[in-house]
Amino acid sequence: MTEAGARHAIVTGANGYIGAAVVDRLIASGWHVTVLGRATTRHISVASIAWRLGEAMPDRLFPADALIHLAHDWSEAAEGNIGGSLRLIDAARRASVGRIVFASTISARADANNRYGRTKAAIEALLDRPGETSARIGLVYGGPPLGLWGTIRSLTKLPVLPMVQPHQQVQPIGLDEVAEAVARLAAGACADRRVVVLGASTPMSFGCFLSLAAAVEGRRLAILPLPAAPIVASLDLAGRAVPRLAGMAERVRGLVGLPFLPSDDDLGALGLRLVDPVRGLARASRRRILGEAWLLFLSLGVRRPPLAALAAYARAVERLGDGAPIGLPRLAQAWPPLIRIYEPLSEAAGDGRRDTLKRRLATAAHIADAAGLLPVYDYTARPAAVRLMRAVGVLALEVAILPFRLVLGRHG
Amino acid sequence: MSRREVVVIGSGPAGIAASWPLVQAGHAVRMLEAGTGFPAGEPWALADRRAGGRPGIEALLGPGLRGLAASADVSPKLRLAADPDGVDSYTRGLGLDADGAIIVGLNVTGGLSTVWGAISPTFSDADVAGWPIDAAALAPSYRDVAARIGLSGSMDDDLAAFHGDGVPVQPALPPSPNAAALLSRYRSSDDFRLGRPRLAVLSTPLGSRAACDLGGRCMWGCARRSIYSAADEIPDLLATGLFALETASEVRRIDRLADGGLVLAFTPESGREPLRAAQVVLAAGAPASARLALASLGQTEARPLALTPAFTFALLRPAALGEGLPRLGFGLAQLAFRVPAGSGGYAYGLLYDAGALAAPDLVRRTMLTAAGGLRLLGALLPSLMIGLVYLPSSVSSASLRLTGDPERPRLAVSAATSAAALALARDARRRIAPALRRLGGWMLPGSFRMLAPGSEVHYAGPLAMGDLVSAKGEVHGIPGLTAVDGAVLPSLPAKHHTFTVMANADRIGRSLATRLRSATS
Ligand SMILES: Cc1cc2nc3c(=O)[nH]c(=O)nc-3n(C[C@H](O)[C@H](O)[C@H](O)COP(=O)(O)OP(=O)(O)OC[C@H]3O[C@@H](n4cnc5c(N)ncnc54)[C@H](O)[C@@H]3O)c2cc1C
Repeated sequence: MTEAGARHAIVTGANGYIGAAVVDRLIASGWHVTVLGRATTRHISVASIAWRLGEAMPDRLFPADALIHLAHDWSEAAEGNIGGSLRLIDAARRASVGRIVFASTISARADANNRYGRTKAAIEALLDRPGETSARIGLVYGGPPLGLWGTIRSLTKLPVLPMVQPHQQVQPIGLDEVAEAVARLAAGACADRRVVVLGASTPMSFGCFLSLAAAVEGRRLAILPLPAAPIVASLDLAGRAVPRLAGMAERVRGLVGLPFLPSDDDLGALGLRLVDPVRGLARASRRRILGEAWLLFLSLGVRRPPLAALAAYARAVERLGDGAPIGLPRLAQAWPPLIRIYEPLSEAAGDGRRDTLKRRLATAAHIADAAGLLPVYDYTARPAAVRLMRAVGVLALEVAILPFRLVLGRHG
Repeated sequence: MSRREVVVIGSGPAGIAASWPLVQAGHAVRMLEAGTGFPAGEPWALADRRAGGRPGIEALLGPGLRGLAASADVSPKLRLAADPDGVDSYTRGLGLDADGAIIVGLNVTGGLSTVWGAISPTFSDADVAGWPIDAAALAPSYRDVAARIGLSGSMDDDLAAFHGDGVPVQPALPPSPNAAALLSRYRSSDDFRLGRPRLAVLSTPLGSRAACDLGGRCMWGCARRSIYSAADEIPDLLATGLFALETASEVRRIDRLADGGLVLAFTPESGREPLRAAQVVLAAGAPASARLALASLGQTEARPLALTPAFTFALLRPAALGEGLPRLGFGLAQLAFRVPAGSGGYAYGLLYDAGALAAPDLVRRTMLTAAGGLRLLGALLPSLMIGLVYLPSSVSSASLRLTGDPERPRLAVSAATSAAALALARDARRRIAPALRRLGGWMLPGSFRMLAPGSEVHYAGPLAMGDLVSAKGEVHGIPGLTAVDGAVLPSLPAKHHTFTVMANADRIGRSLATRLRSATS
């Protein structure tokens, strides 16, 4: 079945948040992929073989160059996960698959707080032969709102987030970066390492990560620190009724007491340089920033802002600004000329960490200027009285809205 | 002929000006420059661009739109025409801790002259009072440098002598309608003198550089090379066969060797082995040269830093309210003026056409909303001018000092707007406003604004001649090390100083060339 020259990978868990991205990445770099599990809806052209973790191995699965094992059954007992994985690994070994990559977690430890971490550690222990590598993956963000990332995105929509251990250190990594790393591992990188760590090499507090994630939604997150124990207990209780919440309790437990694992060396060996999560997360908010750009350009009197100018604005905000949408009030969204009543008097207002609306407007104005869109430069003579009236009108309006700006000025 | 090699650090105006006399005397010059070249881009006309023509957004705001980076008080030109990486790497190289001061530099071939405003007056005896040399000592150098870089301006207005009359000067560029109107109503007076500025900008071609075509893109860099940049002289220097330029070579330290020679260590990024040299000329720009020299001397006491305090204002010409913006025009200073300030001193001012600047830059520093401010400019721009007024360094209060680990010393600069500067500025404004009113220009109320110390980028003083260095630029205590840039000027008048930095570097270069020749013969 394998085309001449193309490498063949078997992937489990291909429907998951990370799995789908891994399959995308493998296909893009010329792999021939067989999905072991439910057929993915996303990759119509990819062959799939029905299977569930724990079931007997289907016939005619191998040969393959690599097995990428991402499947995890949240509803199963830990033993099902471990036993099922063992069966899969054995089958691959028997078929002399040269490379096995297993998706583990930074929380994997025999004495981990949650079952997930303990299960992953147990499976890691099985993978002890040359060519077998467990990838300990950090906090993955970006892409569709699925997995833990999906949970985080929905949490950040809350007005106040009661939160367990906001100071807990996490090691974020972008979804596309994980996919790239796994693809490189599959292709033979780090084949001599039993464990590699995929996560930011300098940790970030979970609270900070959540605030940044909230900014993707254009929100400011108020975090209410809470003790861990009661939360986990109540989630556990709720989990009996709603199975989805059981997984959440598991994940929250995983965060508590998460260790920091150095990743510099592994990332270096993989030839990867991770994007700073601050920037990486901002990138995820691009759509909202484009919307913001549209409104700001309209408010500056640019009639039909071209895409190039909108994109330039988004790039400028991501690279030079704080990268987060400013969060325009509904009223201003409905009628862009009103944006001016939210404009603070100075660019440097606020705590200086986040961009002010005035700074954003200056950015938009500079871009509109460079694109030749500003209706400011008048090369024709006009009656002086007309110009004077216009100037007086503008100044009168400026004075009239000054009180609003003093009160409503968006200080970022 | 006795050929000696001189290592020159820095390819800005000072380094280039010091190199010529050395090369002309037959010595070999090896120039070390921290930065690399910066492409000038393609020529385009401002009026076309504003109609949405080419080039696009990135061409105007720089690769990666870095020209948008927030930089509080610096000239928009430094953002629009400079490579922001060069700005960053200069401050990084300094290990700068600035308190109340704006210290900028540009690690790029040609240094800050790739973005400067090209105002180039000479200094008079009064301007150099307290220096160990007089103006006559600079006269031959002024002449030679002027002939090489090309000056234009008026030789028969009220400021001609003030700007210097012993130098070759091309005809002035045509004034903008606003400038012409103000000038036409001007009558000579002692209190307020008005004229065309003296500029290192060509109105007739010189060598391979083209004359200004009034395209108006000056704020974004001059692709015709009509505005002088030190980088323009490098091909001519290379053609002498005695000159070599080594870019991406940032000197980190200069140390004395036991045998009397000097050794230059480079930053790790430069990836160079240390270099031995008998003669080293320091021309890294005043802040960087001060840092290198003070580090070699092990001098950690605070040194004076001379800055020229400056303020801006907006001027409206009601008579021009109905006019359209001129399609062609020079984009830098249109007019120059001087008013008495302090006892026997003066303040020096420039007027720019606001229409030659990027409108958003004019708005963002005001309290107006972006939308309102732009609309207001839409009505007023053709009749609006921006004034920039400088005061002598005697009223500045700033100092710099080496701090931190002697292996990697940092430069701490502290400055504040002194009460004396503020009083002098207010006094100057009181004289300027009515004088301009008589010419038909109204200073807009509320537009007076003091600039942060240092943002005018006139730095001098830390290695003053007669103090840490001799009148010939020799750094006392380090034989073979000669400083030539702004750092050696003891004080600054309100006038722009770079032309004088160049003349002084030329003068020091001549004396070094002579000393080297006699040492070997
Ligand atoms: C926007 C603006 C407008 C200006 N307008 C005017 C004006 O109208 N008139 C006027 O007189 N002046 C003006 N100036 C000031 C003028 O540009 C400077 O005074 C002049 O460039 C100083 O020349 P310099 O050679 O001493 O230093 P610089 O121009 O700063 O050049 C120093 C060079 O040394 C290099 N260098 C630095 N450190 C090292 C190192 N450690 N190793 C190797 N190389 C190093 C740098 O890369 C640079 O190329 C203006 C400046 C700015 C920013």
